[in-house]
Amino acid sequence: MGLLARVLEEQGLPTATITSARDITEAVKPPRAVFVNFPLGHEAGAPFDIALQRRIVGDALAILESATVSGTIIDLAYAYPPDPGWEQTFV
Amino acid sequence: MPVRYIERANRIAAERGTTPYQYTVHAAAPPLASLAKPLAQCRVALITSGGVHHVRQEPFEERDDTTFRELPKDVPLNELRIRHGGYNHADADRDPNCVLPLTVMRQMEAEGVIGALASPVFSFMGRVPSRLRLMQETAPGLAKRLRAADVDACLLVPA
Repeated sequence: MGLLARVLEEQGLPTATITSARDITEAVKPPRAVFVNFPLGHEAGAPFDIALQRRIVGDALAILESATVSGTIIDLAYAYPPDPGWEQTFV
Repeated sequence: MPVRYIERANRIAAERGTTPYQYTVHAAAPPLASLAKPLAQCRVALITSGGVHHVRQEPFEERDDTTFRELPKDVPLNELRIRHGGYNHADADRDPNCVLPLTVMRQMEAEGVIGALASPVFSFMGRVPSRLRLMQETAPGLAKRLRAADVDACLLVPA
């Protein structure tokens, strides 16, 4: 997806990416991203938590207007609701 | 501390004696394209690589599928299905909004936060090994479709 973001941006289409894999995004370098520290498959939020999904998507769209430096990654502070420390036990 | 997925994939591949997925490492991000108008006037495309398809569409191949699916922006969420080998989609099976946030994009369109949600929305498979094919064939095809839909900006959700 980061590769597609780069191509679309190069063709003049501004892109914002929601990532939950910060290291992959740091490597691939899409133009603008927000990082959500949730397990993969929850990039836009936890299931049925529309309020949280709305905040994440809103934050992602906001960087379309606010980012001034290419390669920007904004760390969002949301904790994964079912298990805020999920990454400690992830193997 | 964020999970280091690349190191993890390399470790698992080494244990199994297989070749790990080679993530592309770029030295720099491309220059920013400028937003032509305020977000509230923009037609925004929604693109996921969560392997989402309509129940009546052909599912993705889990390995190296460079095709994409187009879904009408008003598609009922309960008609969406997921085929993807790269992440646990149990939650996204129950609520596809986890990887394809249609509900909140529709809300934002209705409230005028964005000018419009572009239709169709687009769905891909992630971690495609044939990156050259993805870049040279799939990406230009997508860009063409986005231009045809008069899109001003794109929200990408990799999964």
